[in-house]
Amino acid sequence: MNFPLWLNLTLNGLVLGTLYFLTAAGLSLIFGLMHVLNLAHAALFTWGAYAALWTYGATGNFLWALLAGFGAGLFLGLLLEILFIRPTYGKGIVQILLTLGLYMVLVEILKMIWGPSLLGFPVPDFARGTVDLMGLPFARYRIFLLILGGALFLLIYLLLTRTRFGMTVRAGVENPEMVQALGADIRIMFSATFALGAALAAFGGAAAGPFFRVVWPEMGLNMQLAAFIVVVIGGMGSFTGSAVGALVVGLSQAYMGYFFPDWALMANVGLMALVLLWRPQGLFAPGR
Amino acid sequence: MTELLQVENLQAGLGLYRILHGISFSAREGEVLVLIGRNGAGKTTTLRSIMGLTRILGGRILWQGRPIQGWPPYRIARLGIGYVPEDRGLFRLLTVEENLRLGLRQSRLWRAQLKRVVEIFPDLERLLSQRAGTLSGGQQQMLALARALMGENRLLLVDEPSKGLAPLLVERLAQHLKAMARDTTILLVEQNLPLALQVGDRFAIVEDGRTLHTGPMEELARDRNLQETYLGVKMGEVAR
Ligand SMILES: Nc1ncnc2c1ncn2[C@@H]1O[C@H](COP(=O)(O)OP(=O)(O)OP(=O)(O)O)[C@@H](O)[C@H]1O
Ligand SMILES: [Mg+2]
Repeated sequence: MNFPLWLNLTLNGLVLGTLYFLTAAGLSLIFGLMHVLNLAHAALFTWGAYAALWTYGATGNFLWALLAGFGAGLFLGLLLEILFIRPTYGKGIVQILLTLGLYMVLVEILKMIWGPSLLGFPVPDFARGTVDLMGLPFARYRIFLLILGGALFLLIYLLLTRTRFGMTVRAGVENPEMVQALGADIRIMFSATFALGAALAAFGGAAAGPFFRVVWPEMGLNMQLAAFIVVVIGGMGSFTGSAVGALVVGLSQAYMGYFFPDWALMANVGLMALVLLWRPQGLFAPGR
Repeated sequence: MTELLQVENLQAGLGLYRILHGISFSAREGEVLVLIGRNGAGKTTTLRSIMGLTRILGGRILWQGRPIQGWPPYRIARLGIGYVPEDRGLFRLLTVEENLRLGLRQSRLWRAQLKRVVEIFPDLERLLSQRAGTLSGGQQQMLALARALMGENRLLLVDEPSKGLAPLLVERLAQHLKAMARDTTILLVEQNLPLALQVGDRFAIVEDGRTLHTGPMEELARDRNLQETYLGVKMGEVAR
């Protein structure tokens, strides 16, 4: 294998990893902190993509489109948490069925508004075309995604490590009871974390639009599947774990997709199984 | 002396399963009240109930005369009540500093409160950047107590702090608790008789989810029968 091809595959793997990361980070934090397995997460990804497409069409400004995706996730996340998740904390099965139902409802609403078929999502002007990477073309938009993903990772990392809110969330992942006994209102923390996780997924959906160049009502499902694998590999509740897990899964997807396309998904599931056997709590989560 | 916390005929449990059947006592401002009782008597459940962490099925909990039973834990904590659970409740992946900061009620008081707390626990100062999970058992206990002090609490609920500590460390713990008691009321669950006698002002006996008897510490010091029954002190062991 020559170096340019290797570089190209690696960068593509990292781009995929960025999208997985945006979806998985929220899933992981939400599960780690409140033990909610949110099956509606995929729908938030898709809603972010549609909100971005609509805003892009209305304003012609891609930055507004990204912000709209984020905002839609924040708003929907808050709504879902307050209306449906909050009354069902501690009821695992009820919650899983509920979030599955919410996924379907949210996707149906999208279909009612925009129809069931593919809609084109144009690549914004500033990121159109390709650059030459040692003889192989590489889409500019993918470079933009890499920068965006890196910036977002840094931002959330700082939020989690440098702010009181982040500190409380990390403490809550370890011992939510003690966090309350120290005077933190766990309900507000849960709502904020759920909304933030939803917003990240929706932002991921918005950013994924020009990457896929189309949006469709079920586009979140594949992401969700990958995100689950990422979260299992990285460890539920570990933010760094979801970032590393996402890059690993993204890279494996890119390499396998090129050399053994039929085995790409299998490779990731196999990776997940290995981690489960070796370190069931995931690579970055603490053992209990 | 005024009553800071009154517990009246408290009943609590898990779901419909009752663990506490009638706990009554009051903690007066400034004192150290020690709850003693056999394993499984309901001491931990009593502290958890005061903190709002178990379901209350009956009775009342009064904070300066005001009922607080049924409040969520964070509101109870904000009254000025600190909790040091039996397992210490540390955030093991967070640093010592982060653990202490989470004990603060107001972030801007960090410097001032740290200074106060380090006077009692000087060892913690050089451990600030270390992860709590890497500390020794004795250091972890200090951190748990120190964190409860960070919040300028008026009442501390401390559950068996001597558990798992070597005898030499229990001696230090006694000094620490005494220092803490100088400006905080403490409700202490403790089965170590010498420690209880050293720091306690009064005691209450918990048995089968009920309080049986309350008295001044001197009474417990004198009464070998009480010691044997509720603290498992063997004949021949000397209480100081
Ligand atoms: N999570 C639980 N599930 C079932 N029973 C419980 C639970 N927690 C406590 N109990 C029961 O409630 C009773 C009181 O327990 P509690 O922990 O309050 O006792 P304790 O006096 O603190 O005992 P110890 O000295 O062992 O700490 C015990 O009989 C215990 O078995
Ligand atoms: Mg106990």
